[in-house]
Amino acid sequence: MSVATLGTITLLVLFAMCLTTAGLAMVGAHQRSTRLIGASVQGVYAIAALAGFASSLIIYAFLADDFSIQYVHHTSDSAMPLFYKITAFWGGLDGSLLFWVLLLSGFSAMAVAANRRRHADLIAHVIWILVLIDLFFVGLLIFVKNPFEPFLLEPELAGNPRGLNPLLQNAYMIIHPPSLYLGYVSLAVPYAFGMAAVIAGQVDAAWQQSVRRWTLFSWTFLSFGLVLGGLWAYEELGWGGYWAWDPVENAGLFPWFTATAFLHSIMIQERRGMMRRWNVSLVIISFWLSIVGTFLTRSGVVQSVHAFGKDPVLAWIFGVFLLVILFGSFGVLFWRWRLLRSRAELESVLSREFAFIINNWLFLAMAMFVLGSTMWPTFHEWLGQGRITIRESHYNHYMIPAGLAALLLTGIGPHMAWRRSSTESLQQQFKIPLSVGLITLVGVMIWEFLRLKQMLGGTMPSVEQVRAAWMDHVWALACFSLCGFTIATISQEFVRGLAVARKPAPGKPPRSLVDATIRLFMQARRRYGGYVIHLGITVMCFGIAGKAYGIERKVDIAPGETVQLGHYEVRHDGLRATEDWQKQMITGEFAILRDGELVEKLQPARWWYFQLPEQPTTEVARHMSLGEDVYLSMMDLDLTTGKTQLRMFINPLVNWVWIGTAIMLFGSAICIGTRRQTQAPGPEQGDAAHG
Amino acid sequence: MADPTESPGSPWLFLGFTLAIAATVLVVLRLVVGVALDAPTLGLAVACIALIGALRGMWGVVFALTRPTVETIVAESEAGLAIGSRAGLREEKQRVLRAIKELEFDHAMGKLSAEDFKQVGAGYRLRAIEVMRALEEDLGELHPLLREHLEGLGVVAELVGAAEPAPVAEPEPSSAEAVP
Repeated sequence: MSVATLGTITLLVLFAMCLTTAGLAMVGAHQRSTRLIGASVQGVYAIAALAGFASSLIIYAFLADDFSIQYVHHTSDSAMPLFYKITAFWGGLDGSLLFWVLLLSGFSAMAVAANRRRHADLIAHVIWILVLIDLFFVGLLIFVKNPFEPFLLEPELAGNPRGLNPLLQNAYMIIHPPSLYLGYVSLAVPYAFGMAAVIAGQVDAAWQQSVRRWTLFSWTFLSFGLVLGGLWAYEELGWGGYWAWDPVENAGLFPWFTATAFLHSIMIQERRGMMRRWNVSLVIISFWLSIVGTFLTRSGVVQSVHAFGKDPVLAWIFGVFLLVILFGSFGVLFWRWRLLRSRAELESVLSREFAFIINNWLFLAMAMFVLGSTMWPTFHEWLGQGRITIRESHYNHYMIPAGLAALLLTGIGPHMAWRRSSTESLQQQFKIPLSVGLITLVGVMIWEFLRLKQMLGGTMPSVEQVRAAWMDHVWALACFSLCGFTIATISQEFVRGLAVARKPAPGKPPRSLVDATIRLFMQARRRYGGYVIHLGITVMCFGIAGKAYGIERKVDIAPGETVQLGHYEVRHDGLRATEDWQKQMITGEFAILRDGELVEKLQPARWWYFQLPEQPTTEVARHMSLGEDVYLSMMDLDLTTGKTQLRMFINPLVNWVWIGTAIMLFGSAICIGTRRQTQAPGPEQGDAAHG
Repeated sequence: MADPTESPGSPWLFLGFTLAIAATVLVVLRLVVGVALDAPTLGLAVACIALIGALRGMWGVVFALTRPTVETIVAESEAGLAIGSRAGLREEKQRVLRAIKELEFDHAMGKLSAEDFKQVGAGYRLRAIEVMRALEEDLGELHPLLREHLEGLGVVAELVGAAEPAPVAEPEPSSAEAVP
C-alpha cells in the first residue's frame, strides 16, 4: 500500500472518529452519561493520535522524496535540506490545513486532559465543539484539499519537483507560520470553553480560569508570530520596513486585538462579576476572527505576498463556516442572555473597570477598522466597481492615533483602583509619571531642534522651520512622551510594590530587595507579569516611533563610487559571483564609513534559485546598533559594468522593536506560569493566583 | 470510585513504553538486518508510534463504552448538582477575598485614600461574611445519606474546606501582608 493510499485512509478514519466522538459527547452531555462522556474523552485522544499519524505520514513522504504525491512534488525536491523538507509540511495550502488539524487535535487533547475533572460539567460540550471544528477541517482535507492526492499519471509527466518557495527558505519563515497557527488554533479552546459554559448555564468562575490562560497562550503566540513575520519581511523582502499592513499579516492582527481586549475585560468579570456577555462575545469574536484569518490566507480573496493563491471553492466553504459560527454562537449567547447579566454596576469613571472598558472599545474598534480596511478592496470588487488598493498611509492615518491612545491607557490604567479612585490619590499617583512624560516631551523637542540645526549646517533654524519639523514628527514626539509617561508609571508601580513587599512582618527585619522582588513576582505574578508585558509594548512603541526619522535613498552605484546616506558614506567595493547546489548568488561588497572611518563591511546579495530563476530573492545586509540600522538591499545589477541599483535605509531605533518583543514574551511567560494552588484559596493564595 | 473517563492505563506510561519498544526495534533492525537509520526510517518510526497511539485511543473508546455502568452515577450527579449550586457562592467568596486583598495592596501603595479604603473595604467584608455564612448553611442542608456517600468519595472534605471561613483581613491592614 502506498503512502498516498494509507494517508487518505487515515483521513477517512479520522473523519469517522470525529463524527463518532462528537456524537458520543453530544448524547453524553444530553443524557449526563459518564460512560458516553468517558468514551468521547478517549475519542479526543484517538483523534489527536490519528492526526499525528497522518502528519507523520506526509513528513515521511517528504523525507523519502515520494513524488508520486502531488503535494510533495509541488513543495519539495530531493536536493532540499532536511530541515526545509520537514517544514515544507506546512509550506503549502494542503499541508497547512493538515497542520491546522494536528495542532487543533493536539490542543483539544491537552485541554480535555487538563480539565476533564476540574470542569466535569462542561467537558462534554467542550469536546463536541472542538471536535466539530476539527471535523470541518478534516472534511476540507478529504473533499477539497487532500495532501495525499497522488498523480493519476506518471509523476514524471508533471516535470521536475518544484521545491519550497525560495522566499520561504528562511529561518524566520520556518517559525513564523507555526507560531501564528499556534495562536489561531489555540483560540478554539477558549471559544469551546466559553460556549460550553454558556450552553451548560455555568457562566461563573469555572470557565474563566481555563479560558484566561489559553487566551494568554494564544495571544503570546500571535504576538510572536506577528513580530517574526515583520522580521522576515524586514530581512527577506528588502523594502526596508517590517510592517506594511499586508492583508495576510493584518489577519493575524484582528484576533490579537480582540484577545488583548478580552485579557483585560476578563479581570473585570473576575473582580466584579461584570461584563459576562461582553466577555463571551469577545471569545466568540476572537475565534471567529482567527477563522477569518485562515480564510483570508487560503481563499485568495485578498491579494498578498503571503496568500496561498485563489481558490473560490475554499472561499465559499469558509464563508459558510464563518456564518455558521457567527450565527450559531451568538444565537446561543442570546438564548442565555438573561443568565449572563452582570452582578454589579460601574460605580465611577475614575476606576480601573472604566479604564478597561475604554481599552476594550478601543481595541475592538481597531480590530474592526483593520478588518474593514483589509476587506474593502474585495467588497469593492464584488460590487462590480473594480479592485482598489488601500495604502499604508490610510491605515497609519487612523491606527497611529489609536495606538497612541492605547499607549496612554497603558500608562493610566495601573493608577486606577478597582471600583473608584479618589481625585486626591490620583493626583498623587500621576504626579511623577506626568512629570516624566512632560520632561520627555520637552527633551525630544529640544533634540529635534538641535537635529534641525545640525542639518542646516549649524545655522540657527527659523521659528517656522522648527514648528514645521515638530509638526512633521508630531506623532513621534507624542509617542516618545507617552513612552516616558508609561515607563514612569510601570517603574512607580514596581517601586511602590517593592516598598510594600519590603515592609517587615511584626517582629521581623525588613526584607531584602531581592527577597521582596521574588515575593512580589511570586505572589502577584499576573499583575507584575502584566506590567512587564506593558513595558515590552512600550519599548516596541519607542522603536516604532523611530521610523519617523528614517532616511531612504535609491541609487545606481558603480564599483569604486561612494554615496552619502545620512551621516554615513557607502562605498561600492565590487561584486562577487558564487554558486552552490541550489542557487546562483551575486554578492555586493559595500563599506560603511562614518567620518572617513570604516564602520562595517556589508554584503547584500541577489540569489537565483535553479527551480525558480524568474523569482530572484533579495538578501539584505544590516549594520545594527541600538541607535539605528544601516540597511542595504540590492534591487538590480548590471553584470557587465557592476553597476548596482541599491536601496539604502537608516532605520533609527528599529532594534528596540525586537528588544521590546523579547521583554513582552518574558512578561507573557511570567503570566502564563501562574498556577492556582487550591480550589478554594484563602486571600493570600487567591491573590497569588490572580494578582 | 473508578472514573469512567479514565483510559486503560497511564498514557505517559504507554508513551514511554511505546518509545522504548520503537527504539529497541530500530536498534535490532540496525544490528541484525543492517537497516540505515536515516531520516525516512526515523520518520516511519514516528509514524508507527503515532499509529499505535491512535489504535490505543480507539481501543480506549471501546473500553469506555463497554465498562459496566457505574453505580454511583446518580449520587455523583446529585453531588454535582450540589456543587453546581454552590459554585456561584464559592466564586463570590473568592472574588470578595481577592478584592479585599487587592484593596489593601492598593491602599498600601497609596492608590486609595483612607476614607475610600474604609468605606469600600467595609462593604467587601460585610459581603464576605454573608457569603461564608451562606456557604456554611448550604453545606448543613445536605441530606445525611448523601453527605455520608460524599464523604466516601472524599468530596465532603473539599466542600467543607471551601466553606470554612477563610481568615478575613483585619480592618486595619498589615502592609507587610498586603502583597496580592
